[in-house]
Amino acid sequence: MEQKAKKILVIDDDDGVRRTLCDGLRDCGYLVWEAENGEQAMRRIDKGMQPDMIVTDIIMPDKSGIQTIMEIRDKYPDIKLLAISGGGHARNVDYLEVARKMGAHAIMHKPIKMKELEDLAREMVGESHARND
Amino acid sequence: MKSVTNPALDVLIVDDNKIDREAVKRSLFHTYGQGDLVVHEAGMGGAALQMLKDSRFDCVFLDYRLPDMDGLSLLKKIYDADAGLAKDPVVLLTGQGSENVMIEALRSGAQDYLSKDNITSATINIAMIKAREIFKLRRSWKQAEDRLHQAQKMEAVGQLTSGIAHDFNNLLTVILGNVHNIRRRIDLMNGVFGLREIQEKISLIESAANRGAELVRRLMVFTRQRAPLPQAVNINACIQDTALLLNQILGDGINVRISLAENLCMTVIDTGQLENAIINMVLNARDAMDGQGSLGIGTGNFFLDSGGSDKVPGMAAGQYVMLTVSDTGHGMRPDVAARIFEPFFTTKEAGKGSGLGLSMVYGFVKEFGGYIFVDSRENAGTTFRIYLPCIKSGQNEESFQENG
Ligand SMILES: Nc1ncnc2c1ncn2[C@@H]1O[C@H](COP(=O)(O)OP(=O)(O)OP(=O)(O)O)[C@@H](O)[C@H]1O
Ligand SMILES: [Mg+2]
Repeated sequence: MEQKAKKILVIDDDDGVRRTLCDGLRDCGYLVWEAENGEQAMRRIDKGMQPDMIVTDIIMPDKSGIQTIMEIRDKYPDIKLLAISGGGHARNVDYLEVARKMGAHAIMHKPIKMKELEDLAREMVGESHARND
Repeated sequence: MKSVTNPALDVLIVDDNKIDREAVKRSLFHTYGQGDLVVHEAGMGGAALQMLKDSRFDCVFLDYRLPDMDGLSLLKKIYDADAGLAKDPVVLLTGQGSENVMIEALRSGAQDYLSKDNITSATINIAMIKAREIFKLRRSWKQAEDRLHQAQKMEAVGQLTSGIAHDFNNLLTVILGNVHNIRRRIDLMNGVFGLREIQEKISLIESAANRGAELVRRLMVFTRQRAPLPQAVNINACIQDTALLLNQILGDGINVRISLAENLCMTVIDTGQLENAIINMVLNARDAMDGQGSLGIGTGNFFLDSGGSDKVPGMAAGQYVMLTVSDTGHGMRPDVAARIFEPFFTTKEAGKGSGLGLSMVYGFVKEFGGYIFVDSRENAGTTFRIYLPCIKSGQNEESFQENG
């Protein structure tokens, strides 16, 4: 079946997490690129590298995940948004719930279960068969 | 004047001079009737210290000069926090009435002082009233201060946990994510020699990392850094999960009996919090049993019809899951049992208990619309009963009828 490759952008300031998520999604056939923070991500998207889906951490230096989500909601309403977070840093505030209210389509607590992430990607943007070699 | 229904005041007079003791006594009985006041006497500092250790007094009159130690050193001993004696108001009696001695006395913890030249029924009575009031005030300041310290400690632990948890969850994402990614690659490598062994080793990594994730989750719930995650569960499963821990917590001398009801109805709770609650109650039971005894954990369905509400005071009619945790420990006096759910209430020595265990259990039970009761008899044991509301569903209707 002829099908266009689906593109996913992973934003996380933790190198290990970013690489792990990217590897897994690539192995599933997605075309994946990454950014270390919201600022970098926005620059790339604005230059025309528009993904079908964004996986973004919430607590990051520079531009927070919440801000990024709001900006993308406004500018690129078609992009599917998944917010992820390791929790902590704020008392009595569940940042992921805030992210959901601000427009994230789905949320996931770290540690991320890759199987769940892959299932969710399939649900949100469909299968993909990019060649990642 | 004291009313007859109040218990008598216990007063201790510490003075080596019998005539001085008599003077104080006489002045006191001038104001108080025989039934309102019991006077205890000591002639030596050592004897006084022993009496202060063994019982409590409503007021202590302490001579500045004693044969075996001076009054100030005795005061210091009394108010030395470690000795646990700082429980009685003290009035220092001074012979020569030097200003320095008075200041020193107040700094050492006495609530008031009185010159021996000035002992009359009025001065003695006023000194006693003043000492008792000041003592009460100081104690409530001290308690407020302690509570503040505890709260600050919890806050610090919470912040620390929160920071660690964040980093830990990133690390665990990397470990577990790569286990997953490697597995998928391996699945593509059919027939490679030694593959089975690699897969087994990967499973070891995975289960260790999963245990780490569970640990972080509990820590977050414990310090309330994570919002509770309500889930519909059969609490029997949670109890079976914690059962593995129980023997480790309790040691060999304590025998554990677990009886779980079949067809237990489902309830909505945070499983981490429930496990935490069970562990807290089990820890308390262990502390109450001194290495020997038995601990019981049980579950059951419980139906409270609207007519029978008087059986369980304050509880709304409905279907509940009941969880009981009982021990054969030293039990509690009623006045202790009345306060156990208060945050920071503890009877354990400093450093042993923070007094937060049961207040967290209480918070958890209330959060999910439940009730908790305690039955305890001194030297006989203690039973906690927790009722959690059932999820309304037709399928368990039968078992409610049976057990209700
Ligand atoms: N099973 C029990 N038997 C006898 N006394 C108990 C029992 N459970 C609780 N208590 C009493 O209730 C008090 C409060 O218990 P709680 O668990 O809240 O605090 P703690 O055990 O003193 O300290 P922490 O749990 O914070 O380490 C205890 O100090 C003890 O006096
Ligand atoms: Mg406790």
